[in-house]
Amino acid sequence: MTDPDARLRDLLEQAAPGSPALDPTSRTAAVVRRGRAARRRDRGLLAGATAVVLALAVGLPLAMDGEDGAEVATPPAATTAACPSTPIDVSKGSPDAGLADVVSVRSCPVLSPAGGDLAEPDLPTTPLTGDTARDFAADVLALPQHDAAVCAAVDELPRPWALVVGLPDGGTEVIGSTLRTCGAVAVGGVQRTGQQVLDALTGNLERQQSGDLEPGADGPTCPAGDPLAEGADTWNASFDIASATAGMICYVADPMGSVEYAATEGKLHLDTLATIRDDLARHLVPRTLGTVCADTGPQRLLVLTDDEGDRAAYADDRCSGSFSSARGQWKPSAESEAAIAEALGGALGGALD
Amino acid sequence: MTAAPPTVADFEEFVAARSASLWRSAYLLTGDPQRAEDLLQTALVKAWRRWDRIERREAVESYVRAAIATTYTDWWRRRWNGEVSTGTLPDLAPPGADEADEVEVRRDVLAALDLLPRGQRAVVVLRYFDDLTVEQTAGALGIGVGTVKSQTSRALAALRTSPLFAEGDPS
Repeated sequence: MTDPDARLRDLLEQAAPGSPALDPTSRTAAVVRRGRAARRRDRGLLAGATAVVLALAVGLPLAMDGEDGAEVATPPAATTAACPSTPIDVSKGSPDAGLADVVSVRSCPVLSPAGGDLAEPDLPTTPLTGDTARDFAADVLALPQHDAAVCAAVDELPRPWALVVGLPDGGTEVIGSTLRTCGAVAVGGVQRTGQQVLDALTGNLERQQSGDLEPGADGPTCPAGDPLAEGADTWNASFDIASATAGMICYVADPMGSVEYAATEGKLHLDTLATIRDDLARHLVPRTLGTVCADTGPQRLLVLTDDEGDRAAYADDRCSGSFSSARGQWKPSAESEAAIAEALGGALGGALD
Repeated sequence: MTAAPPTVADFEEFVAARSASLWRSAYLLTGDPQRAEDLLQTALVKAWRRWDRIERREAVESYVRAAIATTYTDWWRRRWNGEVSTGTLPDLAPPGADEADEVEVRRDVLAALDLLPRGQRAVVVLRYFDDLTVEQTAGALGIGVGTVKSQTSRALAALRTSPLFAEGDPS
């Protein structure tokens, strides 16, 4: 007669397949990538929570799900939310979106504000899914509060847009507005600038489509865009500046002026990186009036990466001598300007004094 | 002699050496190869994020096994509302004629496990597949020793209703 415990052990042993389909190397890579993405989301949620606390201080309403989305895995049955069968009407804005846990994000057709027709689509319709959808949420939650004063003298033409956010339980949230630069949308209890939300969508979509979710894994490089900020990760609001472990300065001389630096790109060494990182972390402030300006002179770009493969960029292209990103703008200190000059082989002719 | 704390470089070695065994446990919990992979990776991510705080190499596997079990019960409690026993085995590989019996046993075992509440299923897998003691099982699931004993007893009673398990039951 068989021991029942032994019988149970034997049956379980028979029922469990001999080996998984995934090899250990692929599994390790997947685990490390998911771990890094979770850390980035942690930082984004922390930044979002900080923004909510600030919003509370000035009396803005709070509607934020407090669930920790980083530690709780999403079962693999989650699917990408579909667009509604009819175009979305964003003429009255959209309700506050929590974005505490996100499965997918996609741009969907919207009604034209002119007469109820379908607005001309101008955004990519490919959905963000999985880690990149969660990275998008972290970036949006890390955005600063929308500054309506920037738009006081701007008469922006309506360009409606709407994003449908898929949630783990199959529900959806809609974020949308008729405007972009001057269109604020409520996310996590804070008004965010529509264009910055869309920049986070397209930036994360580029990473997803290229299959490169760790663009900073090999350290920073200068982008090939013209202007320099074209395609740079200035949208990456959830990047943790304090965690930056490598940096690079990129430079394009004023086409109508003098050359200010000896080189067009240069890596920061440990000391100069620390100088810039600390200065940037302390003095990155929300954009102010006067910074909305297309600079046609010299361009500078700071690219930072961290040990988790994340990458962010800060562009000096707004006529102010300040570097800006989705998180705000930074006026380098004299020490930081010296560090930038050193990375670029030295300043020529004292042009930056 | 005190064991050296694990380094980040040890992680890949650990996954290479132990993850196949851990995946088999996850498979018995979920009954599905894809869900088992996701469950295992989720548990490994938790370990990876705490890697520099796990003091002893020997503790890593225990930590991951506990993470698999608690993540499994957490998923099903908090998020997973669509668990349905289909009675069909996911295709891991096309079975040959000699493998037909093995496939049939697997299907029957999974069907029997599907009838158990998730807590009892976790206890059965930890105790009878992972060979944890009652105390180790209690520690892994964060429940009391008495609860482990009572859940084991109920699970075995339920499994005995399956002809497959009853074959070896002396009672």
